Amino acid sequence: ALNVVEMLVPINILAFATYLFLGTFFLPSTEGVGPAVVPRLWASALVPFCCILIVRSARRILATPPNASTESSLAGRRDDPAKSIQPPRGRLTFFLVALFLYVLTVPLLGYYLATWLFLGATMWCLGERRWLHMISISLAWLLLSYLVFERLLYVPLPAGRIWQ
Amino acid sequence: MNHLTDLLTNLQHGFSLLMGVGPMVTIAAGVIFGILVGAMPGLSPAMGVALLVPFTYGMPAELAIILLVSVYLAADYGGSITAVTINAPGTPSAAATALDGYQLTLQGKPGYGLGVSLVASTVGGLIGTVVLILFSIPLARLAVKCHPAEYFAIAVFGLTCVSAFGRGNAAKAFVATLFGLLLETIGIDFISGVRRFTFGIEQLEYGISLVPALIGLFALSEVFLQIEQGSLDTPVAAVSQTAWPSWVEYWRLRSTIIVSSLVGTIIGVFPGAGATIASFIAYDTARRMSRQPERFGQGSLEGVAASEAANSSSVGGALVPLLTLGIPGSASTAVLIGALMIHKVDPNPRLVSTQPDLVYGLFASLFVANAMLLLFGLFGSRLWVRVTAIPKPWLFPLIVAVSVIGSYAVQNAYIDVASCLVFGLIGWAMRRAGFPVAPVVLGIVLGGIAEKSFRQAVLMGGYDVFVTRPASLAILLVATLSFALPLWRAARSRVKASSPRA
Repeated sequence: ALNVVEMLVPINILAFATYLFLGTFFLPSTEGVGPAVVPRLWASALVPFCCILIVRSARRILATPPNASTESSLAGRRDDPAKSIQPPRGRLTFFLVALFLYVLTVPLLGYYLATWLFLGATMWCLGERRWLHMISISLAWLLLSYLVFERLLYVPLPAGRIWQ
Repeated sequence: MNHLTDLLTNLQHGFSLLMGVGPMVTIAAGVIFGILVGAMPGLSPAMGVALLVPFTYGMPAELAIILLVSVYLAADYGGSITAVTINAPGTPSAAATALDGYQLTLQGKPGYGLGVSLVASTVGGLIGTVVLILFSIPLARLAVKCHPAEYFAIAVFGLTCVSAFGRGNAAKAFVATLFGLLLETIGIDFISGVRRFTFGIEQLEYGISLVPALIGLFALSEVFLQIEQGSLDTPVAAVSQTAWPSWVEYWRLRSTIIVSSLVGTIIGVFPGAGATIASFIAYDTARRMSRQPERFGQGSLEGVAASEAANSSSVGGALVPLLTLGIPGSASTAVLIGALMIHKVDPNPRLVSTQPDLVYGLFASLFVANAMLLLFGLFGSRLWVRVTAIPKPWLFPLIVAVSVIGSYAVQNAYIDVASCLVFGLIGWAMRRAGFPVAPVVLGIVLGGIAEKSFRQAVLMGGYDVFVTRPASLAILLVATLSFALPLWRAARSRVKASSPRA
């Protein structure tokens, strides 16, 4: 799984670079060094590096036996794999879904209600079970964000359509 | 001599700007927040600075920069607290500190580790500041005379140095950098006024908003990664009553601290070579120079002092290219550039002459911040250790909440929140695949400078101007070496690893 991720990232970056490179041909040309020159330069430089990384990852995938464990070789892992605790599956997925819903519901519910729900849901998801702590931390954050952003910085936080 | 007199006069003026409750409270707040951020494993100095940027919107530019630089400075020390007490470096640059610091704790002497790291950090920070002041002004004067071709060459050199971020995989670091450079081309072209790659989205006409991208790449991606890895346990440290070193013991470490500080400052100047590299090189240097090299890794005070002096002095070094050329020397200074831009401050060689209050106020604040670091470190060591026990189930949702509100506050626009989220996911995917994210930020930040200089240079002298001007050619050759060497070394190790044993 790790090797596949290692290959997917340069593939996506290469696709992005290719898309922008092709897009430069639709930019109007101007006198001197036009707006297309530098994007083409960066996109062209990206291609060989991405290809090298894709080929390397492909070789590793082909060389890896089908039932080799990849659980302990997660890139970026800093802890000793032998000591790492396997997290409950779906925890990150739940967190990401909660985050997406949070961002989508702020315009509707307003910043304060949406944030309170988000904080509660995600603290619970990450293992906090003490309701008093969850409520008090959420309220403390809401109070702090009101004082700092609305009162001190004069940033009006979204009020929410349901309250209007 | 006149220059020195002018410098001292301006510095005195800089100190006078700090004489007030506001600036002092700002520096104190920055130092405290920085120590906290640095002490918590999983929070990096760049992340701490990025998260704090939105809170500085309502502040004058001078105070905002002082606050953020204080955080940056203090965070490098903060990482040593948990490195010494529980062998969990709060920052990557404290990893070398843990080698000997934790051994001291196991020997029942955590106070020795904490004390030496504090004093070494303070002295290192002061030496880095002195070097910054002495070299940045003449360098800025020199840089003003640079032709755009030379400026482009310097930007390219800065970008090629990022291979150090790749931790052995230079190709990934270069891909990350080029990706950032490409992202920077999105928006209205500043010379021709042509819309580039905006996909019909009006908000993209002004380009990728830097602060949400920073917050997403540094903060959100780290949260996602740690949740995925299941790193939710919070190790608890205990600092019981323990002796601290005497003045004589500190005095014995003076040459190690001074040499390591100079090493750290010099390394900090090079873009991409930040506090982590500085601390390891200084540690190795101290071990080679030591009369007792066998003690390193067994609880050597010299080891702790070398690492901490270097990682703190690298802050001053990293600020040199930032203030004089607008080129960030590290991930944290890349975030600082974003903060400067938000406050309508353009970091370039003329900054010293156009905004002397900001520059000299910053220099003076570094001295004050180092003094406060010593103070808070001395009296608050037990407190910092306790605070690092904040449970991650509380911390991660709060970081996300700060990220969301911070991104929204940039322009009161949801597009920035979406941008933060997208960059958080991009950063997470990249880090999962072993790609560093700091070069993406460097690419976004330096891309504008590089493109502007490139196009100006070509307009003035044609495409061959980069090789006909000796300075530009020399810098580009060094950049080529800086780019090619790590790739060649990596290729050579691969060949050695795959060749059959004799």
